[in-house]
Amino acid sequence: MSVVAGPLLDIEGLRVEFDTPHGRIVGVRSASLSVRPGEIVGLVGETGSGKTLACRSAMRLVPSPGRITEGHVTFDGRDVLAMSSRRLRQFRAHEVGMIFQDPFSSLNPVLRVGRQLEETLRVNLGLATAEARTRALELLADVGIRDPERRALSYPHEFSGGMRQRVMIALATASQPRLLLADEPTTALDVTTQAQILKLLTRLSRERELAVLLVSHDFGVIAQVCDRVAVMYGGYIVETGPIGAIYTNAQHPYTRALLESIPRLESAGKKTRMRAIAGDPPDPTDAVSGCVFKLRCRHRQPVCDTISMKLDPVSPGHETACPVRPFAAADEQHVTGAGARA
Amino acid sequence: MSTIDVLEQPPAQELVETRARGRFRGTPMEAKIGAGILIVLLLAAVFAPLVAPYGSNELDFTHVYSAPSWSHLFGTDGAGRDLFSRTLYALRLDLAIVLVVTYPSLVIGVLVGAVAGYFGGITDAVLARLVDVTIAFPYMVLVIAVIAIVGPGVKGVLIAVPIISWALYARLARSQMLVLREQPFMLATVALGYSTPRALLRHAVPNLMRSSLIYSTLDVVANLLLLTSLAYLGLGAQPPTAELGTIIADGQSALLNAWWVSTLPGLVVVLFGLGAGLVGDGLSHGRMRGGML
Repeated sequence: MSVVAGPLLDIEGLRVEFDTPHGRIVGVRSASLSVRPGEIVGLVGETGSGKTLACRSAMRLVPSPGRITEGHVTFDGRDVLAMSSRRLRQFRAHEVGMIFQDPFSSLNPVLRVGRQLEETLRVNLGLATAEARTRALELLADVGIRDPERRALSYPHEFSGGMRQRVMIALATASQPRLLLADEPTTALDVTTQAQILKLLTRLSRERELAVLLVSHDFGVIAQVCDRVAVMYGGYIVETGPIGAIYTNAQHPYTRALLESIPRLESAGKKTRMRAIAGDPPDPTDAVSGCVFKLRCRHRQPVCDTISMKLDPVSPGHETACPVRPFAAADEQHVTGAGARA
Repeated sequence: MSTIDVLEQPPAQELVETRARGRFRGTPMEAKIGAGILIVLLLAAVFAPLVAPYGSNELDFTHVYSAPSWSHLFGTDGAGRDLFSRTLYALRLDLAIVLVVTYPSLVIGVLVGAVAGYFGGITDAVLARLVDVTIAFPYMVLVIAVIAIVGPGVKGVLIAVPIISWALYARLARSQMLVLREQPFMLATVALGYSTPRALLRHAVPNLMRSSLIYSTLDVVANLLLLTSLAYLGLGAQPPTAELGTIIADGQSALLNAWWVSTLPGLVVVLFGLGAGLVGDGLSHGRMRGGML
């Protein structure tokens, strides 16, 4: 599925800070991440880990008063952070699309769905009104809206959550972007709808060579569709690699803990426990020395106070920020027996 | 016939009709009654020259202070002028002025408020203070001061009212814009690369209009009362032009002998207030296309 090529989106050493009356908050401390054309990359982490900020930074949509203070964002060789506001608008209009967590409020409630799609087509692609109308109906049909002629005349509140998210996907991909940023696109949906939306995203990615950066707190979602995954914690990317490697051979204790906290069907009926991660996520106002995860880590070593959170390769494409490598040996056993051990 | 037939979607045409009917069915009764009252008054005002049985200044000294009758629905005044006709012409003038001072103020106020709320920061601080100062200014004093400068007549109202009344719309729109700009669909306008004017005018402003329109139903009544009061004080249109306030003031001296001169035009003002109030009530209760605010 994935195409081996240079990265389409490349984020290097990203740092996002907020200057607030209560002091400086660091939303993203250091994140490096890349997405290749046609590839679906998952960005997983808990609330407050900085995953949404990292994702939005790709199109410079950091909410005020946030600022990107360090790092580079490169899209197809162009420096996104250096773009003029005009170029940036062009970039947003044509090259990237974005969909949001809440499909109930991501469409304008007072405009008909068809009108919103036609607007994008007219403004961003310069289509004539009649052309835009035809194309809007095609797009609606393409994302799985039945009877598009009639549905185009509906207002967003007349759609269900899943249908609204489909419309949002149609809207975000209307101008044929090469990258889609999907910020928790299925969190507000029920599980069956979630599966349909993920299937739609996968299909669009394959058909249109569309790269997707999928942000989620749910490893289950990521595992269903992603080629690669980056795990984020406390403003750092702590581990990144192909989905298979992360699943079977995670090297960072946080990644392991996250995987262990997923309920598993195969453990049903057995006397097992899901393991929650003890402690709280780090406070984004605090300065951190060494590893961000050390306070909650079961494998803490003295070296954890001094490490730099730099990603080091484990195998090709698989990198981790943990130098301790507590799982380097006897791996298979650990992963399959993870639940039972508790 | 199998059960599948029952589950089949009705044809599109039928659904479109259902929706059209649904829109009126959802309108609350008070809004319908209020709209009915306003429509009758507006039609009467617009078509006053066709509807009025007499001219607005047609004297008839053989019928001085006639009580209401079929030939003079509202009776006549001390100069024998038909009050029904005079009231219609007065309503025509007064409603025209009221609409002209209210709705342009609404448009300006909503735009100012939307800009202030959308951009925030210094723009907001400056505009919000301007709004505060405007609202804090004593309204009646300004209106009378302007009339003192430009002289009595409707010109004073036309100048003075818009100077003040945009500010409340601006405050209303700004507070809603602050909520609106945090909505994902406003973020989506940025993510789609839309220009700021497009995001503001096409996406934000339509969401801000509803509450301003509801407020305007109070504002038109307040403005009509203001106009009537000024005319009553002799600061409005000068005789012999009919304004509701001047007719009421004229009849005051004959109130005990000819109650209808002041009372019936006064009731027209009340009726307008009732109609506008009902419409405003209905708008604020009714669901409008699932709008968020």
